[in-house]
Amino acid sequence: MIGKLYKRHRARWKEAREIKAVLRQFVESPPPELMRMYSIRLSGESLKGTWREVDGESFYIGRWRLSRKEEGAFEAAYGQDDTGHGGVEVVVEIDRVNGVLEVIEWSVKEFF
Amino acid sequence: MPSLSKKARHRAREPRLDDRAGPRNSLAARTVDRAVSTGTGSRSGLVPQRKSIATASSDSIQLKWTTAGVNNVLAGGGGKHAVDDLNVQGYEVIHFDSYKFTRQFYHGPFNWFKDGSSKPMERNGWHNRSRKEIAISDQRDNGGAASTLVHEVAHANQHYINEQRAKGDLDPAYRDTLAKELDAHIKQEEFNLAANLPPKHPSFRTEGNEIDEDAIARYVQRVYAVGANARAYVDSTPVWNTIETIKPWPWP
Repeated sequence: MIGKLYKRHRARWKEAREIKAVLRQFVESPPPELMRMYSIRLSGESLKGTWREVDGESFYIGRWRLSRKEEGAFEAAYGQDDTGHGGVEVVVEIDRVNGVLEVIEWSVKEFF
Repeated sequence: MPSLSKKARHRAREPRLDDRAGPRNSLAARTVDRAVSTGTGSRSGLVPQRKSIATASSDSIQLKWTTAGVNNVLAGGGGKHAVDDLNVQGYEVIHFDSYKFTRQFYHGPFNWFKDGSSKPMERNGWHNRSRKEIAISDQRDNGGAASTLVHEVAHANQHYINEQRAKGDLDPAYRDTLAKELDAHIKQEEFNLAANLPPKHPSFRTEGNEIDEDAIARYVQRVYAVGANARAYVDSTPVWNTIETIKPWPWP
């Protein structure tokens, strides 16, 4: 039992570390359009914090919400929102390319 | 799908409804069968599910807005240009039932401590320029959906202008969220007034029923200026169902 929990925890930790590295690269060198078109500032601050499970499908790394998709891919969303209305969310799709996690696509969702 | 690029495969995984029969884009449709693709997270869940269209009458739902109803309101308020701009730019409108989730705020060192209990929240819709999509909740009526469409098309036009200026190496005309929202809110309110719709917020009109741009600016500042200073929170996985996708938007 403890062995299973340990293995699960270790797998999550490794997964989170890998995702965090990809997202760190994204926030530290964001696409120029993100700043120019949306004036969104990203920083490593958004990745500070613990791994937090939401439910079977989603979890948080810092302030990024990760959703599991098929074939080991993830969708990461970072919201700049406080009220639930009128926030923006940077959505980053992450998938494995040659076995390595990479950002495949990004977009911005402007909620109302 | 070996012939598709990684990016294309990603797009292909999402539940698309284009192959769905039904009254999509039908001006006469007042009801449609409850859909169809279950979206969790953003547009798809762990494994995108595509359910077949329900045929039982119990699954039929009365929609709060339809393209025909929205067109009537748009025509009454001189908002046809919104449909033209929407179609010219190749947007797809997603009509979804609702988008609900709960939000738990946190505070303290490492944002470790819960700040009160979790709050139920709901989105009215969104605009995604990269995907050229505008999503509008069915929780709005024809007037609300028309007003929202005008607002979102204003955003689409801002992006278009910014993109054109970027090609000429010029600074964007609409620099940030506040500038974009102020412009879109004013355009929306002008339409609301012309179409005899109530203001988006009671403060947006003066006692003489004129548009109060200062009040709109204050509202935009209050609602949209949170940005990176937002409190730490954790949202539950949002649940929403697509009722129909509309592209191009029909106009009689």
